[in-house]
Amino acid sequence: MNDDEAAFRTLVGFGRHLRSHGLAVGTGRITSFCRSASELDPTDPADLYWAGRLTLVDDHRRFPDYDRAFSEWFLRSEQEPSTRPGESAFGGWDTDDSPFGTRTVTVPQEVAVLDPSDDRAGRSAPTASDDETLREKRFDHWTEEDLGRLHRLVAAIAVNLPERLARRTRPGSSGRIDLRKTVRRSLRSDGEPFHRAFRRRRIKPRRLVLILDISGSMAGFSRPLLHFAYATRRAAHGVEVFCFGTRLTRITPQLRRRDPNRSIEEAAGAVVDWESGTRIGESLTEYVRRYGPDSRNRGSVVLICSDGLERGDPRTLGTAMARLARQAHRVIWVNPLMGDPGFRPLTRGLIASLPHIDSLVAGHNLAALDRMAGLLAE
Amino acid sequence: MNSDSNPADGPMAFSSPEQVAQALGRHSYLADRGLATAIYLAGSLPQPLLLEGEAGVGKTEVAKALADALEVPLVRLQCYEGIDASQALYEWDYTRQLLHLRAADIADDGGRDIYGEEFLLERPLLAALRSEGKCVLLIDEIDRADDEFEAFLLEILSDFQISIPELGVVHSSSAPMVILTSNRTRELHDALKRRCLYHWIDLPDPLREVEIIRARAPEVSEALARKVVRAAGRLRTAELVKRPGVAESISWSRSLQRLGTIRFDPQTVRLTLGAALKERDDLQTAEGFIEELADLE
Repeated sequence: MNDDEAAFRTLVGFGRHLRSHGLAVGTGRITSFCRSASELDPTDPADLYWAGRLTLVDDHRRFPDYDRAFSEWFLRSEQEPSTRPGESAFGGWDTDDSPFGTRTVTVPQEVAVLDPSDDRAGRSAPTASDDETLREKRFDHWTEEDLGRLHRLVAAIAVNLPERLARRTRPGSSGRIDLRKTVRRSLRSDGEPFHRAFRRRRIKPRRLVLILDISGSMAGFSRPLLHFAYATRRAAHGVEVFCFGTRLTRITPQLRRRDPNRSIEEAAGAVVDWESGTRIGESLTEYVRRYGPDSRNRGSVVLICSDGLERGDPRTLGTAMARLARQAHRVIWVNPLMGDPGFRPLTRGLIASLPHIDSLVAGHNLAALDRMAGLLAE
Repeated sequence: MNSDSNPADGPMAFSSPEQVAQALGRHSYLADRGLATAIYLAGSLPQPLLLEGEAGVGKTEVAKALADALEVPLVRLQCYEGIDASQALYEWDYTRQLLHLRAADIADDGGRDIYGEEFLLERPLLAALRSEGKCVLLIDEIDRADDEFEAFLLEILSDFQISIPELGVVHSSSAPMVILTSNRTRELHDALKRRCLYHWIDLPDPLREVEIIRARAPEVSEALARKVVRAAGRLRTAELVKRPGVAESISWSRSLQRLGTIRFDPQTVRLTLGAALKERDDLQTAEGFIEELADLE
């Protein structure tokens, strides 16, 4: 085996090694990596580092995994390649006579809500929490047998979303003139634009964003609400689902499976703060800061399912709700406690939020969920 | 063509990442090794380069500086929701077509006549393709376009050819340098990412940020730039809706310089903070530690 071939095998082997670190590296990327390395100087570890990072990783949150794998494979040393966490050793040019001096670049710190460690940490949660939920009887005294039928019942709730005008157009009988088609048609009438064609803007349903409180005080309602979220996600296009206790977790990707129970189990696995305390204010702040500005979440219908029992500062919640109201088309608060006859919206969290809510509705049983779903299209 | 590029390899060939950094440096863009390597590879493989990073770290600026360094035009396609082929690729000049039809009374030749080159309006992607590799194509904020457009773009980026039904296929023998930017407001499709080199531009460390401000705004004194960078660094540690980027530091320095600032006191900070923070909530938050931002020497 000659040197080139040995080097090539080392590079390909690194691609496979990355897979063991959970990075999805396909053949195309490995080819790209090898080509990049040969364009640079493959004997320089820094060039090799960058050739790999530019071609094999497509998400900055995975850079730490890459760094680890790189040092294991190419440096084969026990220690990390970085001098301090988050900083790459290969940021600089290695020659001091380089006109730029020696520089380091900082590998971004984890900023994600859905970081991979969440998955691992939460793996054991679902079974325990399911038991917890089954022991609860607040969803109108459901028995375990009833809960088995939960999915079918929740899936029957019809969700109608309000509509908005989209930017894209479709052929229509009125609206703006479709010049392309009109010109083509006018060929038949000696250049006279006699048969005009039109396009009008398409209608799109608004996006629905569900933000579910899965903290301890909501234990009895978490599972029915998750089933509701799952059923809605399957039934309508563009539904986003988030969970929070003390922090916000996006669980939309987990709810994509065909099997509702596995889906919900996975969603629960992604959540680290299952049945913990409640910090609604901070969780919603995270939402309005991180997800709210997304053009696709703007103008959506936001459904918050929570009892409003805030442990944090209610002013934080008030500020977040004000922002949310500006970003969203409608904000609906579903409160399971409203099923109690003596209910008054007097929790500090709810009082801070009331001015920014379009409607406050009950969600303590199926009928209430059904009524709430009917309200969405208004 | 200047010494940075070798015409034999097409206009996009730099000979090394160091040379990329030098060429960009001459156009006031300071690139670190990762970015320089990314651009070098994007040109020599060639492969599109996807740049991500927070707003204001200079994603768009890279493309501008690169076009200047290579002495080729920058062709920019700004994405937005609902963008489609007629805005990105080409459109027929309908007014001219209609006038031509009526003037020439040529309807019996089947109309081929009005679908010629002279009636075609170039949009950025077609313009980039027709330049035969002699341009930098910037596809800005691709995350704002919708999925349909992404799929359409993918097709063009993979074989650098466009088919115009009335005219035929436009093909480019050499690929232009393609830079895509994204602010991560949504996940891009895997297929698109697979086709690109990926680089994350991070906020620079303080020393470098001072250099960047001095390079972009030479009128700003080093002492002032240092004060601004220190204050911007403090702002970035706060709970803000929108953290100030490098673009904000530059604009803040410029504002202060224009005002002839000598003392960087709380009152001056308060008056000029709008250059760094663009949210009312953030201005209120910053008011809480405005003394820390000011320079109390």
